[in-house]
Amino acid sequence: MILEMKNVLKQYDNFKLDCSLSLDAGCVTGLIGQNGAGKSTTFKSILDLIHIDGGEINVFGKPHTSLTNRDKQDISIVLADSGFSGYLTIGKIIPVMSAMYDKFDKKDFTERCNRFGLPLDKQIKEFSTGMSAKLKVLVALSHDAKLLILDEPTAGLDVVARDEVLNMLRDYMEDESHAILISSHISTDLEGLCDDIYFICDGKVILHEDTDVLLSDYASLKVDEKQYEKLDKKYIISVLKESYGYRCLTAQKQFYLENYPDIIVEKGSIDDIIMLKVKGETL
Amino acid sequence: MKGLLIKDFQLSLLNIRMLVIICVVSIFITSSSTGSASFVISYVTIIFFMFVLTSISYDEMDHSISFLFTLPISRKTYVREKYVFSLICGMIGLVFSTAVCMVVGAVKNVNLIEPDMIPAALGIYLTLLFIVALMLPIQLKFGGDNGRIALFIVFGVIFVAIIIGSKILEHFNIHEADIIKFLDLLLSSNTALAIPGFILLVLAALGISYKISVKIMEHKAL
Repeated sequence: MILEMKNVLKQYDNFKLDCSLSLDAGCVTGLIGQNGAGKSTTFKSILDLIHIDGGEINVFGKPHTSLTNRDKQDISIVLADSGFSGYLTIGKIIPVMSAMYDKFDKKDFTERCNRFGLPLDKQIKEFSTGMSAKLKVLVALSHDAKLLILDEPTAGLDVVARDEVLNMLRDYMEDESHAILISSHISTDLEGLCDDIYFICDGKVILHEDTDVLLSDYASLKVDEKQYEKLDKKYIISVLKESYGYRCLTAQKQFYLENYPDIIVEKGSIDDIIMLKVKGETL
Repeated sequence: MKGLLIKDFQLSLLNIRMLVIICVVSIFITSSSTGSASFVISYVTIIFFMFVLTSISYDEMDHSISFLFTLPISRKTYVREKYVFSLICGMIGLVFSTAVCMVVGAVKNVNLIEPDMIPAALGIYLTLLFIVALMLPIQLKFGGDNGRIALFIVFGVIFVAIIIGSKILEHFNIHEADIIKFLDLLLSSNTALAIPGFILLVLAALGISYKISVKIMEHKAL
């Protein structure tokens, strides 16, 4: 196992993180949740940027606080709101990366920067949002890390730039010893990339499921008052009151398709699942 | 640590315009009078020492520091690098300013650098290192900008403490002149001991300061 978080606790005045998750080699795991749900706190606790109040975090089988600098060379991180100083240029970052990472591939990194249209002599603060995001991912991919931790790597990107970043991540995952932990607000990014997804709300993991299962077995049922009364609710996870009646989340789509042919069964999407889990009433 | 040093030098070089101004001002001052070389040396060395504070401000700008600690460096390495960076910067400042004085002296055919200035230059360097030992934990604790306010407060407190101390001594009929006379006597009679003693004092201050800085960084949420 590449990463394991067991009952990790972090207490703030108005927020408590209580999270467990695991990540295996060859897997892409998504972390999804609203703003302030605890995604960044989870990432920061893995990276020991904040001290945890309880539980344990193991990276490469070691407690995260005992990682050596050599171990840290096998981890790459993209943080949503942080990176190299904006006053540096890519040209100035290269010697810094060379000095820090044994496996930093200067030639490949420079070639990729050129291919993605990132100028080597321009200050990073002058870059557009898309250019900065691409640079962060390129830096993360430049030293053959085994674990990639990405906090909102596609935030603020247009469709084309997003696709380019996601393709870079798919290429990275061709090596089965690699693993990615990624958070994103854009659920379609995660649907197409992740093997499994953790839903986090108010600091707690409220759902963990394989992406295939989410997309094949989960569904949103749209029913009016009468249909709702007659509905067998044993496979209903949560219910949300709507103007037309109710919207129900189930993980047994087939059961309702077969037994209730007159109700609307919509294929589960991550956005629906979040909405119904967060806003709906759990049965 | 090498990577961090490269980063800090890269960022310090952004202030190249300031370095040029320092250079011009230094030459201007040294050219204007023959006795101003020691002033130039202290002035330029102080400016170079200030680069370490600027580097902390750069690190904190746009939460860059969070990202820095995701790189393969420990909190201890980060702190150590800041001390090493300040030692190197101070040394560069000292060598650079001395070189400027020598060049100006050679051009004007005036001997601006006297042999007896060497202990004085060493004294300036050590004094500034002592100030760095005081400043760095404050900067790391409070951050670049707040750190400067905290620093003013600390120096204010030291200033007030000196005033109060001198008042108390005056109360016991010991005056400022007596203290200076005593220190002069102490230093002139023990010159051989004064310099190594001062070096030891500065090293001890740096050692304590480093330990405090490491503790501060280890407890800091990033």
